[in-house]
Amino acid sequence: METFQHIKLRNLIFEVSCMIFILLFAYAAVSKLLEFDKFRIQLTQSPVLTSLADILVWVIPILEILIALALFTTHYRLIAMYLSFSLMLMFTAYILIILNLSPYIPCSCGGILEKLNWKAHLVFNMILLMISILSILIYPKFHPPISRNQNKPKYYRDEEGDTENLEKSRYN
Amino acid sequence: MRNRIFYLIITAVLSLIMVMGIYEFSKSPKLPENGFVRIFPPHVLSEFKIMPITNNTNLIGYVGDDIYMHNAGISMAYSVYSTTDHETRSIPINLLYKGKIAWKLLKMKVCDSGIFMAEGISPNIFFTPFSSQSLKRIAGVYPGFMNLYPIDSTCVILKTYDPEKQQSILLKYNLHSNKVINSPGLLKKQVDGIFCTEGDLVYDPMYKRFIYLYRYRNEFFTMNTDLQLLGTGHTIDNIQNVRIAVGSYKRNNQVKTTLSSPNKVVNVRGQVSRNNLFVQSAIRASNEMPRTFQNNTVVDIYSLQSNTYLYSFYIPEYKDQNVRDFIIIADYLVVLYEDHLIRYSMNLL
Repeated sequence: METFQHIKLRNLIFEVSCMIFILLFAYAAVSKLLEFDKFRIQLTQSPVLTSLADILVWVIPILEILIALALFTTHYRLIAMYLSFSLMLMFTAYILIILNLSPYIPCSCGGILEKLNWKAHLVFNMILLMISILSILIYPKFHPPISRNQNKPKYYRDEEGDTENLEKSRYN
Repeated sequence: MRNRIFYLIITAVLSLIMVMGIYEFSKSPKLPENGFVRIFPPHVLSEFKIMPITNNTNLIGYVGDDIYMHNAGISMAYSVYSTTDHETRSIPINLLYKGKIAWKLLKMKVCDSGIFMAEGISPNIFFTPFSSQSLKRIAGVYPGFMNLYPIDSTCVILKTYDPEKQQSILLKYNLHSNKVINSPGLLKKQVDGIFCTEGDLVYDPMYKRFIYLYRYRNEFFTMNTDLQLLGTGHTIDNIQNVRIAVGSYKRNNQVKTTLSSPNKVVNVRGQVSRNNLFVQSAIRASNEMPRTFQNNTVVDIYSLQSNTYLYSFYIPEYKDQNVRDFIIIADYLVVLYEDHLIRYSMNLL
């Protein structure tokens, strides 16, 4: 049974995850752009990314900024959360490749989370990956305008796609 | 809910395909013409120690842990730098020979048994064991050579010109018996036979072999001390054919031959240590920034077991001075700058 409180809780969890990802991506992108040369050298040092360093040095921070901005909007936040999931999965897969398949392990000095080693980075990414999956799964299908206009009826679209007026519904 | 799980799976699959694609691409990247990629593991060079030296000092070789240096301005002395103690000491030597010497061309070289000083125009070869300090001329010298590389006190490798083949050749010469072991097929002529076959001959005392590193093409070969070919390899750049042109002009009734194109050096110098060949390259890779390449000296490491590329590292500038030469002894890389010698600790993979 889905109650209005449940939806509010789902929304709250989603909002918090959005904030986490916005902070993470904004910080990551800015730190990369502020130390652009250093980031570029780190990419060229990577045995996997070295030949793509010229492209990735721009693509990664721009993508991070775009995702962070999209997470602010009501319309694109779910898509942005899918993109966050995709990016976190790619970072995680990259770390797994570095740790297992690459001829050597580049240093993780600089960039985001300087103090973390590769294994800790992997755990950190896994946690964020879980957060993104959870947020996508619990995101309410209909985002109710909770506070804007109290006179407007609040709707919730159920699994079958039917809409219900929440104020008059049996859930309330 | 079902839809979202489906979308999550699709997103995950696409993301993983992308990462695996990048990984596969990294193993065989498509590059512009003549492009290649260097691998730079971090922290190859760690701590360093600096030793000021006089200008115009040249490294003339190493024996054990000691590096020998000679100053072209102060010709009658050499200095020894101990890599373990980080100290230098100067040793005077005498040259008693009164005959004709092409002083400007005199070059010092060190081998396990002593010091050679030679020039191939007059020609003259002088030798002194480490126990003595006076250079003695060796009689019956091979007539005319360009370079001398000592093996021991009796045998040397000479690089000389073969008028029949019209190219430079390498030969082994016994200084006592005056016996020549000629091996003309080693240096491969591409343009003129002299400039195009230029290169660095490096002796590997551990495996008792020589490595010849071509200067103008991406090739090196190993040979034993009897000049028998052991193997060939290529450096990572794609310059297989020498990109120089040679011209000649008449001056004082003499024909002078010189380079008539920009001098496209590929391999600047080489060194051997523990079955690895270290090559200072003059060619920038596709994944190197022009500025980084310009401000550092890139050294590529090759395995002499498989003759394949391993990875690279940079030797930084010091006080705006570029690297003039380097020698590798055990875990130390000793780099010669204009007026400094720096001993770096190396951490190879």
